[in-house]
Amino acid sequence: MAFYNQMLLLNTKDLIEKSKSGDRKAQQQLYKRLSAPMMGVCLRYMKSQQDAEDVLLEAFYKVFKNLNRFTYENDNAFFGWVKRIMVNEALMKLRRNKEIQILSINEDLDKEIDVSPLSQLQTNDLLKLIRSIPVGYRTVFNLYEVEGYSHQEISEQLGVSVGTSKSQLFKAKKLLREMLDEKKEDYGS
Amino acid sequence: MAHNQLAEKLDQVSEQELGFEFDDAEVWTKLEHRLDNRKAYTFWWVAAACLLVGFIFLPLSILKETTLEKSTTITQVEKTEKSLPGNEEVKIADANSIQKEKTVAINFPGLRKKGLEPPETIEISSQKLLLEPIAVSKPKKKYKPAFAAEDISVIQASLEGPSIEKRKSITVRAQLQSFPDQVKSNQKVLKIKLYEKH
Repeated sequence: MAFYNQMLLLNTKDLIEKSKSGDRKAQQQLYKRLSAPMMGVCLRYMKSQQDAEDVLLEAFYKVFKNLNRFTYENDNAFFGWVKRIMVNEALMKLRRNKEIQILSINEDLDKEIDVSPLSQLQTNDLLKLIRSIPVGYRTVFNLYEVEGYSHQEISEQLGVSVGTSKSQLFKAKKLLREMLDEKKEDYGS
Repeated sequence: MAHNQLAEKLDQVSEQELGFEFDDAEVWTKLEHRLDNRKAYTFWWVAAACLLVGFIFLPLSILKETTLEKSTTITQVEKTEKSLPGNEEVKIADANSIQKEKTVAINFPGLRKKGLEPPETIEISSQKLLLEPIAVSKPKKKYKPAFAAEDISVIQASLEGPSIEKRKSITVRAQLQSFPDQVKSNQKVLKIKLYEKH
């Protein structure tokens, strides 16, 4: 127990160093610190809870396997590195399961849709809302709006054209906006 | 960490905000099991890789050694003059001649059994044994008989003795020759030729 308390006091850098040398307790502590936010990342992409857990497990395995290659700079960089592994693993699983079905949409893409009110939602509501839209829209929305990928990067990751990526994002935003307005109406009434 | 408010909010999601009861301990148990297996797998992979490398490089190194041995410069090995075992006696007939003829008296009990008289002397042509590289194909020498034979018995046998190099065997071809026009009509000469066996 005393050992666990000692581990809790360790900073991320020390935990990473200990984890690199194969210290299982340090790895567990590192996992405990990151599991919830990373589960959130997985849930944003995956349809079911089970799939999200599978992605989380596989991605954490890769994190510990490749930890020796990571050079610690700061906590944010480490978090970003782990998150990127989670996102890549989620995309890989979606591709494997052939869940991403992206169709090109002919709509007026120049029309701007404001989704900033989304950030005013409670985190669990926001997560629920994002998970409720179709996989194709959701994936592009997550990659562009949350992860900060460019359309070029999305097109390379998903194997679609830049135009398709843009149209998917447009459709996702439109859908989210409609749902948000609906929600507001519900609250209003 | 997060490039906008939306990302910041989603990245800082807590266990309670996930919307379901997330059993992180269960996932950790699975993860720990996988990490333990990885250690075991790593050991076996390393062992298998070592074996594989051994299997690949050992025959290659043996082959290389053999090729090196065979490609060394041609060495001439002269047969050492040693006495043959048993009651055989070897004399050098003409040391200056190129062919190095040897006169040898040998008892052939097999010939007596067949009712043939064993010769008093036999001639053995002593040749230099050459170690040739395998790649070089040496034209076969044809030995013409230096006599006209009427009644010839051919005896073929393999000899291994101290006068012969290790791992070399020599075929002996013996020809029993009779000369009816000679005074001693019952005298016969047995000529033996040695052939290096390839």
